[in-house]
Amino acid sequence: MTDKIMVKLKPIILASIFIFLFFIFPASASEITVTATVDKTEATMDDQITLSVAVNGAQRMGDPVLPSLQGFQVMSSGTSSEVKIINGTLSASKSFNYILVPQKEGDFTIGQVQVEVQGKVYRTAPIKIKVLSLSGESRKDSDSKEFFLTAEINNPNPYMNEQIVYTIRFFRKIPVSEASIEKPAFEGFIAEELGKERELSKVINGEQYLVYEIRTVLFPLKAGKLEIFSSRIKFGIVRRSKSRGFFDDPFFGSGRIEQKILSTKPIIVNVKPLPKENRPKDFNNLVGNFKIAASLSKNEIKVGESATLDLEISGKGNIRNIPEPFLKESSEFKIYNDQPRVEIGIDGDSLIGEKIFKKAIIPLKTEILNIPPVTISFFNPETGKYETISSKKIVFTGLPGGEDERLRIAEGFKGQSLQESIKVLKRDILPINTSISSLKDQRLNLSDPLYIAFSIIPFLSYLSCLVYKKRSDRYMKDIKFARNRRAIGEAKKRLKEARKCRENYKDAFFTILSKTVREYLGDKLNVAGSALTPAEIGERLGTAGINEKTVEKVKSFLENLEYKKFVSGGLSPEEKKELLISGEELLNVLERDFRRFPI
Amino acid sequence: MKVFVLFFLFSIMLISLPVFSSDEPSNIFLEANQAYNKGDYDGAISLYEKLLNSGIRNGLLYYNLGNCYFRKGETGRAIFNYKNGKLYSPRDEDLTANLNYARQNIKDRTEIKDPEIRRRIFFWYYSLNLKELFMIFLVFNGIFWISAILKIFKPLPLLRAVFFVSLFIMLSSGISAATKFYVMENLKDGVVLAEEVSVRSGNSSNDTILFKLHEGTEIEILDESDGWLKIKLPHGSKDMRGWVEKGFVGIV
Repeated sequence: MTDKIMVKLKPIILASIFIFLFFIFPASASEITVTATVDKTEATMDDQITLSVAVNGAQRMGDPVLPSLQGFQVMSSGTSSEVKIINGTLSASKSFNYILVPQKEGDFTIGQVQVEVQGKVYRTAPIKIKVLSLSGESRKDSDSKEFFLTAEINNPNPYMNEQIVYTIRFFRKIPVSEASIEKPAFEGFIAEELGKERELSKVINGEQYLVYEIRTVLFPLKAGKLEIFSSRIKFGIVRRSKSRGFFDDPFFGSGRIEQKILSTKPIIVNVKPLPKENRPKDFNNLVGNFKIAASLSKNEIKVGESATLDLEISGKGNIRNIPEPFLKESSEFKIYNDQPRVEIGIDGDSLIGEKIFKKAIIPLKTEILNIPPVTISFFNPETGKYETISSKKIVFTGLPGGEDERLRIAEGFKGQSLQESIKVLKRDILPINTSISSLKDQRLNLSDPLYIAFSIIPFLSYLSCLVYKKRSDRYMKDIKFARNRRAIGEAKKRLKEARKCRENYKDAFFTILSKTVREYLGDKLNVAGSALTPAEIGERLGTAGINEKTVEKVKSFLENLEYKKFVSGGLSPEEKKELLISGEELLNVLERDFRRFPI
Repeated sequence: MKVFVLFFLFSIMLISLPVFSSDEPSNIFLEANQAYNKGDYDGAISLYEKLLNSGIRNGLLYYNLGNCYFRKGETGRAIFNYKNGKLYSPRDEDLTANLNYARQNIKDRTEIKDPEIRRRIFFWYYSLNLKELFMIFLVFNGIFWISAILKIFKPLPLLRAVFFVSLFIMLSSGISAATKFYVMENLKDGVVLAEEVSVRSGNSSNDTILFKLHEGTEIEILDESDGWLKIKLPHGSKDMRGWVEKGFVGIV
């Protein structure tokens, strides 16, 4: 996370530093020049050329784009930059250094190097370089004699699988730093390091050299001409700067480190095939000189118990490659193989070692038993002949395993010692699945209305239950609230009643109608409604904040009813109907007003 | 009587028509299995793919298709289909075995790390597919709200326990389902289908080749533009990233 922030902030930080510098040194970067220089224009194949591209007058620039340099191997050897302030003017320069290693002789041209500085592309002038052949041994400057790299093999005409030793030596007279040797990829060989690298000192032509030596044992894998490509060493040497100044002290290190690369010539190995005549049948490409010995840990073994048979093959050659010797299965004893052990050492210029094949032997019979001789064939390159060697015959006695022998055998077979791990013979995929359930769609279709319903309905029902519960609680606790809420419903019910009995009883009709309105108002105001007089109603409604007009209407409606009740003579059905309608309207108006001004 | 027999025959015809029609998925499936067993892998592939194209998504179907490609020697497509199958049938052990075996038959050796600890802790996430996770979510969503409703009317201690347990399961399955959905939609895996593809530094064929991948190698897809995919090798190899052409990669 912080990394990401840093990555995002980096350009901003850089930009702000840049702007800061820009303001501090307003007179900076007046003129930009880009130049390419080499340390020499004539070189031999052993030499190397340092190419440096210098950019003056700018601090930020893109990496130089080198032209294609045929005939050279190019390696970057770092950059150096410098900022100076002279008379208040900032002068910055940066140089990019490259090492060119000639790959072939001839005349070459280093083309234009391109550098992008502040959005503009600068090009350097081309440089001509002459690479001379190696033959001019005398031309070697003192440089080359201070250090050189050699590679050699001890036998240029080995047999296939015969071991040869490839030795790289780095000679030097002066101290070097950060040396790293790059061995070639030994294609067509099995390679094995022969001991550790060594430091020796040698005198050549009366001059003493320190020698760093690495030896590798190679086993050629096929006959014919094989090429070992060149080895390479990269190192630095400290060059004292010419101008010896005040700080001429090794501690201050006024020198600079120069990168050097040396490489050896490729070596051709002419590998001879193994002769076809007299080749033993069991020959298994083993080349070298070997001995075989067999030993058994016990001479007397109880039936069901085991002893260890060691088959030890030792000698000179590719020890790791020694194949397992063939030991015939027998009805007299059982053989279990163990992991072979390999030990490798050095004897002078060659790789020696031993490989021990361990086997557990369990007798099945109680008599004198034989382990037959084990043979192995190899090709001896020193004599140029095939040889077959064999171990001695081993005789041992199978003893009865005591009284509980059978039991022990049975136990032995049950126990872990005789259990073999399940061997995987061959691997293959498992068969296809033919169950019709393969056709069931396992995709999740979120737009399925059933899913939506199932995910939302429980929540909605919870909400509605919650609201219901809250309300019922309130009804239980709060009579005033309950009456208020129920008022209009009750009133509507009574109106229906009034409508029913308007034909039959004149008094009942008026009473019911009047009661409807009163009870309604009583419910709303939480008082006993039927006892209210029109005057009282007017007063209470007024304090409840009901519109004056409505209050007047209620009063006149109720008074009208009282009046009509006592007037003799029936009303016509139309008049009754009108009364009902106006009653209903009045209730609606009242309900609306009550909602607007809750009590 | 005759009329009755005729009617009977007619109704049998009506019933049997859809059953015997060759477009019925179960028939295609049977045919495909037969083709596979006979060794006609191309035929089996086209039939299985017909089923997939008809909109059926099933891990076992992908498994069978993967087997066909494996038998044909197209390890890349085999792994691609096994991986697709794993999205739908994460618990199928045959599928896992075949996928692991196919992975051993590819050229590039890449590490496929098994997030074992995570798999143990969040076992439900790794052993259930999206649909199953969502179903669990729906069921416990129902139980949770029902227990919440009952709690309003009768706050029993048992209800409280049910309420919290179902809340926990509902939340974890819901979050897992959402995560799985997000991962399936956004963090896609890919499998190299071509024998060899070049991974370049940018999304055009002029860019430098950084490294090459071979058939069957599994990659993570980071981005896409102009028919190119920005990819990364999973685990360990953090610097191994670049662009490949989309056509050479199967997107799981």
